[in-house]
Amino acid sequence: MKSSSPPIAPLRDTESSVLQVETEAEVSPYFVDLEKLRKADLDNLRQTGLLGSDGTGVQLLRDKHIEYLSQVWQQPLKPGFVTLDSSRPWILYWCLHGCDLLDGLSTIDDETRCRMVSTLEQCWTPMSIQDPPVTKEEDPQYYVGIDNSTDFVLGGFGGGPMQMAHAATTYASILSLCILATDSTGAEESSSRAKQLLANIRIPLYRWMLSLQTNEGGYRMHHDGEVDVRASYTVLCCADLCQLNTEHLRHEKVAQYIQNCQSFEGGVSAEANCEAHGGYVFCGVAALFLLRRLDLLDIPALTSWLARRQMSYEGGFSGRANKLVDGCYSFWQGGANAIASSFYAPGDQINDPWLERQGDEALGFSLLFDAPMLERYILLCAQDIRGGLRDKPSKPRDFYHSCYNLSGLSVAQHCDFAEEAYGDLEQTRVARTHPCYNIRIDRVRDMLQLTW
Amino acid sequence: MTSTSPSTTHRMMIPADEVSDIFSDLTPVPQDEGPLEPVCAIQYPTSFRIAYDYMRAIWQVKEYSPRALQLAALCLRQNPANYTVWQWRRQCLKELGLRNDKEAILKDLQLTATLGGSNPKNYQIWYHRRALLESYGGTADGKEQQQLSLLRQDFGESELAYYESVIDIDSKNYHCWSNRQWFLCTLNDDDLWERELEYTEELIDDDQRNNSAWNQRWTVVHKGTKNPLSLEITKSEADFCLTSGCKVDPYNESPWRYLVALLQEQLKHEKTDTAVAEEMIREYEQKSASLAQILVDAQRDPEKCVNMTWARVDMLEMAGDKASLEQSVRMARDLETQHDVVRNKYWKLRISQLQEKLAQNK
Repeated sequence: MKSSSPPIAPLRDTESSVLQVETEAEVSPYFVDLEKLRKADLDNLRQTGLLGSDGTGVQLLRDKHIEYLSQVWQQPLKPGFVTLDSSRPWILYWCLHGCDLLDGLSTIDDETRCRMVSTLEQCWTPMSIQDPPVTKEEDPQYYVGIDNSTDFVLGGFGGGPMQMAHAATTYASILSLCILATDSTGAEESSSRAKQLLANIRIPLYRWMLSLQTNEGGYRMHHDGEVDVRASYTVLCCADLCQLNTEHLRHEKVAQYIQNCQSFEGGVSAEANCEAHGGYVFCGVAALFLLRRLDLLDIPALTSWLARRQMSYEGGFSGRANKLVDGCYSFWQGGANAIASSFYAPGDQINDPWLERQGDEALGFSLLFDAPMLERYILLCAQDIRGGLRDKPSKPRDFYHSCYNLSGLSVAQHCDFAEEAYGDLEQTRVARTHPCYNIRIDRVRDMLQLTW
Repeated sequence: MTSTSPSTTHRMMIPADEVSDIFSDLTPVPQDEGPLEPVCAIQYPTSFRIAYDYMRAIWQVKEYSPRALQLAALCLRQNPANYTVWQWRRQCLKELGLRNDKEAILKDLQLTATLGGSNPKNYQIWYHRRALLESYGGTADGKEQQQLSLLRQDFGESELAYYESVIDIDSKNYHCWSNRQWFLCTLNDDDLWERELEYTEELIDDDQRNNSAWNQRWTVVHKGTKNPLSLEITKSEADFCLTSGCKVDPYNESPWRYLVALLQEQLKHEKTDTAVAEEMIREYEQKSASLAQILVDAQRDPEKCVNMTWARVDMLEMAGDKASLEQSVRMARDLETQHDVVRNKYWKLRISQLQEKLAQNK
């Protein structure tokens, strides 16, 4: 593996550059040449599990990560989590998907999985399942109804019981249900319950998602809530997985709304005029891919911005220009990069290259970032030796960063096979995630083959 | 409803230990976790549980009252990310006829500022501010000039000052910047745009790497539109960029990207004569190249200044003539193989695209 470029000191120190220099100093001890370490130090590292017992390969702390993520279904969360009380489906998705990438679902018994389905069911905001999908023109009464507060909460998944439906927690709920529905080995009951719940909610979910669309083609996160590209992405993603992606949801102006969010820098922002940002660039690029309208973006400007987000020394990604590396962008920027590079694939851009790929055959295009450098950042700097992953060494581990570091690792390992890997790929390999939906590709395939 | 004294109806928040007394006429509604033991369950502190049990009771009976607003504030203090409570709060203000009441709106803006702390980073509290101001003085859609004047008169200065106080603490707070952009674009007032331009200059002077400030500058000079700038403004912005950004520190990505985007915009602009745009691009490419001397004077190797070389490759590509394209290929090759190897795959792609352009050029 080639080595990363040594940091270059700025010509003038500013608040931003000082933080950057501090971060470089923070990660540099993790990049020490292992072969030059004293035996005692190596033994210490081996004891933590970070180094394999033979040789010097860096290890993915698979079992420790599974143990860390499994907490959320084994015991109640500490009182400090009340600030995430409106994000409970998110917590479940981060941990469930993280475990799935580590091939750890078999450690969760059917009964526990039934509790997951049940918890999500409690977050669903009830609406009659007989209601057919309709458009505003066809059903003015319903759309009048949403101005009335009593109907505000009906249709999607909220952050907890009796909370109003929200696009982000709906996305987390649907992805979790897709994971549970498509893994039936030793979990027949929970898998069938998850499928049944999805079958029951599909139509009201569709109506609710449609009701979030604004006249300008944006989507709201919830009724009387903010409009931004997160909503566009989460709605389109759920619609695709549940085979609800109709012309109404995919209206031309939906793509144009996202196109308007591309900033002068080349990245995508939350809404028009805002700053290009990793989280939003992922949402915008993934949503446009789902609409098969990546061509609306200035692709050279986008790929150039994405390329600049990989830090020359740290190897991980930053979220914005002149901001610091953060492990969660391993997926947001890495995933966006994988999707954007599909634009250079030969062919007509109509199919999904990740779904079509057979086994380990090569994709027709390559990632435009340095995958081993990203893997090195994740494995060396983002792993907590007690299990769980983090933003950077000075930050505490959490479920969110665990999920998106592992998802980024998956993109790095699977979206580009021409590349050599960092460390021992046999040991560090995680399952293959789909860069648009961010659940395993086998699960996306299974979901799309269901007939409702 | 229990009787309340005037002093208690006007307070913002109910003390946690008084909740059960104040709402003794209601039956608390516990959270329904379903038939099975839940996952991702949180060990709620008792005060949290009580406040939310009564909040749910209020929702069930649809009580819109001052005491209900005070309870909502208590619930939000315990979890400012509960969007349902925030939304209900807006509904309650509406039902009480307070959405156009300046004092009531000020109180709610104060509440978001208090609950958010000095550096608020949650979607809900920022959206609450925006939603209240959006509807102030009328409907949210198709704002009449009169409503905008009222918004500016009643909240213009205080709102901008609040955003500034947050930016003072965190100059890159994303939510704060988006609200500020929305607010300025809504008011769309030339005086405010003028003042904002000076503000971005101050921020850039403080920290040339504050990319949020550069982004704000782009928004301000475009007045929140996608319309291309005039040639004249483009030149003055490009000069600002070189003087206040690139020259101060050529390693800094932000001003280089601002400069490239300014030039790109002119090249794409239908109304600009392509030859004029290309001439301007060559001029700025040469000015950029001359900045290498700053690095030489500082005993640095200009070849290793990736952001500067990158911007020059982009400008040479835009200039589009054979000599420029050939030079851009050479420079991109150096980046690929020596100075920016972490991005060698990106550079390989760029080189093949540049070579394609060269082939067409012949």
